[in-house]
Amino acid sequence: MSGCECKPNAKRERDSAKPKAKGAAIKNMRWTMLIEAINIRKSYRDRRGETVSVLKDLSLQIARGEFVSLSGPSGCGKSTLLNVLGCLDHPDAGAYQFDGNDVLGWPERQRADLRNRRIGFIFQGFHLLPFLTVEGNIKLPHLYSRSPRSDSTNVEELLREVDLAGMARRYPGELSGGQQQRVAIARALALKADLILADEPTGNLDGDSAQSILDVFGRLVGQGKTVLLVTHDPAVARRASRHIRLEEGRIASETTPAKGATV
Amino acid sequence: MRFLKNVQAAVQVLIALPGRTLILALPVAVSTALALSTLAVDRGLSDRAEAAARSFGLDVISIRSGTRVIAGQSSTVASLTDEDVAGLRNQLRETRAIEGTRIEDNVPVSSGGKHGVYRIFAVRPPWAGVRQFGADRGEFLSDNDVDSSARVAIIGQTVARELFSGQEPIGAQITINQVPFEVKGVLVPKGASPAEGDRDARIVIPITTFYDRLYRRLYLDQIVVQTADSSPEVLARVEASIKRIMRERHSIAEGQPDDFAVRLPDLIAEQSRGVSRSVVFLLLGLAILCASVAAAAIGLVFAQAVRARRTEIGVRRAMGATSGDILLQIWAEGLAVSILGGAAGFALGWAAAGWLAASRDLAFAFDLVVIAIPLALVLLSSAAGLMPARLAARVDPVTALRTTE
Ligand SMILES: Nc1ncnc2c1ncn2[C@@H]1O[C@H](COP(=O)(O)OP(=O)(O)OP(=O)(O)O)[C@@H](O)[C@H]1O
Ligand SMILES: [Mg+2]
Repeated sequence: MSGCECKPNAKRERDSAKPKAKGAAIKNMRWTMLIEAINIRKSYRDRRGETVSVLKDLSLQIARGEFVSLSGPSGCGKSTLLNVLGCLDHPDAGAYQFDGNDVLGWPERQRADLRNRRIGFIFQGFHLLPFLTVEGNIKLPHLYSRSPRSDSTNVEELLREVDLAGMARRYPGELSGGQQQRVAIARALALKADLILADEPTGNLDGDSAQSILDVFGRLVGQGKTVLLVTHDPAVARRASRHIRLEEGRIASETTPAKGATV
Repeated sequence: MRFLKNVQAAVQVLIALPGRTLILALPVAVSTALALSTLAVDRGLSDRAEAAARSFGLDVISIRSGTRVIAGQSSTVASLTDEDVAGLRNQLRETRAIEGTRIEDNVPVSSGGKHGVYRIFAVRPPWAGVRQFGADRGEFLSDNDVDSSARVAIIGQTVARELFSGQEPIGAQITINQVPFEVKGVLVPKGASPAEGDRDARIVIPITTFYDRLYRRLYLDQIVVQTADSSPEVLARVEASIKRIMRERHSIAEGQPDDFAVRLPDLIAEQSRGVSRSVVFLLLGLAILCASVAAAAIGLVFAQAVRARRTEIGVRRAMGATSGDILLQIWAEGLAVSILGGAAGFALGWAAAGWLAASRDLAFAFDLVVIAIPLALVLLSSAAGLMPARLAARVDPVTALRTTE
C-alpha cells in the first residue's frame, strides 16, 4: 500500500482526470488523502526571547492507510510536526486539512473532539496515568468523548489486539515497558482513531519489546489505520511503506523501501 | 454530562491519593465543625436565655436588696419593706402589679421520712400572675390563706418528685423547718436556668405564714413590678421611676450608691446564657482562621500538584480534553475535598453541639445562620480550588508532553 503515485501533486492530477471519471476521481481523492499540510511554518521563542524557526514551509500529504516513518536529527522539528498534525499545536502559517476539513480554523472545542475521536497519540515515555488500572487508562479517552456510543468499547478486545489479554486490572507500574507501550496503543485505539501519531514509541524499549510494538503497528496498518511514526532506528524505519527524513524544519528526502529515493 | 465526566476524573485522582485527600479535608472539617457547634450552642443558649427572660416575665422588673460595702466587707442590706411596696403602688405609673416577697434558701423540708433543702417563696396570690408561676395541679394560695396565716404550701415539680416519688402530694403533710404544712398544689414546671438554678426546687407559702410561723423578719427580699407592657420604652421609664422613688424613700443622698438592685428582663436573659458572647466570637474567629488555613492548604497543595502533574494534563489534552475540561477536573478535585470535609464537619459539629448540650448544661439549636456560616466556610475552600484549576487550564500541552521523565 503506497500513496506515492498520487502524492506529488494531487490537485493537478485531479484536474487532469478524464471527464467521464472526474466525479469518482475527486471523491476518491478526497477520501484517500487523510492529511494535507501545505507550507506549514512554526517558530518558538527561546529563553532569550529570540525566535527559533522549527518548521519552515513544510508540506506533507499522507494517504489513508499509509505507514509513514519520520526521522531526522534531534531538534529538527519531528515532535513539533506531530503536534501540529495532531491538532495539539497551532502553526504560525500554512494550511492544514484533515480528512478534507480545514481544521486550523476550528475552535478549540472542535479540535479537542477531533483529537479525541480520530487521532491516537503514542509517546516515547508511554505517559500512562500511574494511579489508574490498565482498563482505566484505556478508557481515558471516554472521559472526553462527546458521543454517547463511545462507552461500548470492549477493553478485553482491545487488550487482545495488543497481546495483553487479561491484564485489565493491573497497574502500569506492574508492567514492563513494552507492555506499557502496548497499553498506550490500546488507549490510542479506544475510540477507533484512524490516525496514529507515534513519537519514538520504541525509544525506551529493548529490541524484543520494540519488535512486538512494531508488529502491532503492522497489524493496525493492515486494518486500514494510518500511522505516522517518528524513529531514529533505521530498522524500524524500514518497516514503513514510506520514509521521510526531516532536516532543519524541511523534508530532506523521501524514500519508499521498495523503490528507493524519490526526492 | 460533560461536567459529570470531569467529576469522575477528579474522583479517580482523589481515590488514588487518599492520604492527601484526607489531610486536606481535615482542616475544612475542623473549621466547619467548630463554626457549626459554636453557632448551634450560641443559638441554643440565646433561645434558652430568651425563654428564661420570658418565663421570668418579659414585663417584670425585679428589685432586690442591694449590697453595701462597709469597711471593705460587702454585705446584703435589709432595705426593702412593705412600706416600699405601698409607696411604689402609690407613685409608680404604667404598672399592673407590684408584689413583695420574702425568700429563704436551703430550708430543710421533709415528708414521710424523706428530706430535702429547698428555696421558700413567701408571697401573696397576685405574685403567681406576675411571675407566671401558678399551680399546675391542685390550687394556688388564696387571699384567705394569707389572711389566716394558713400553713399551706404549693410545691415545685422537683420537690414533688423528690419527696413523694410518684405518690400524690396534694393533701399530704410536709414539714418546713419543722413546722407542719399541708400541700395544696404543685407549681407549673419551669426548668433550670444558670441564673436561678433549678426553678422547680421551690415551695411557695403565704407571706404572712412565713413571718408568723417560720422566720420572724419584717423586711422583704424582693419586689417584683409588672409593667403595663414589655416594650423597652416602658421598661426604661418604669426602671427610672423605681430608682427615683426608692432613693427618695430610702433618703439616699446625691452621689451615694443605691441600696437596692433593679434587674430588667434582658439582664436576666444575659445571666441565663451561661456562655458569654465573647467566647462565642473567639471560637468563631478560630473557625474562620482554620477555614483560611484550609483554603490556603487546598490552594497551595493543588497548585504544587499541578506542577507535578503537567504530563498528566498534557496526556489528557492529547486525549481530547479542552482547557475547560482540565479546569473543571482540577476544580472538582478541590471541590470534592471541600465537600468531603464540609460534610464530615457538619456531622462532627452536630455531634459536638449535642454532646456539649447534654454534658455541659448547655443547649443547642439550628437556624439559617447556624447553617449558613459553616456553609460559607466550605465555600471559601471550594473557591480556593479555583486558583490551581486555572493554573492547570493554562498548562500548554505541547510543552508539558515535551518534557520526558
Ligand atoms: N515550546 C517550545 N518552546 C521553545 N522551543 C521549543 C518548544 N518546542 C520545541 N522547541 C524547539 O523546537 C525545536 C524542535 O523541537 P522538536 O521537539 O520538534 O524536535 P524533535 O525533532 O522532536 O527532537 P528530538 O528528536 O530530540 O525529539 C527544538 O530546537 C526545540 O528546542
Ligand atoms: Mg521529539
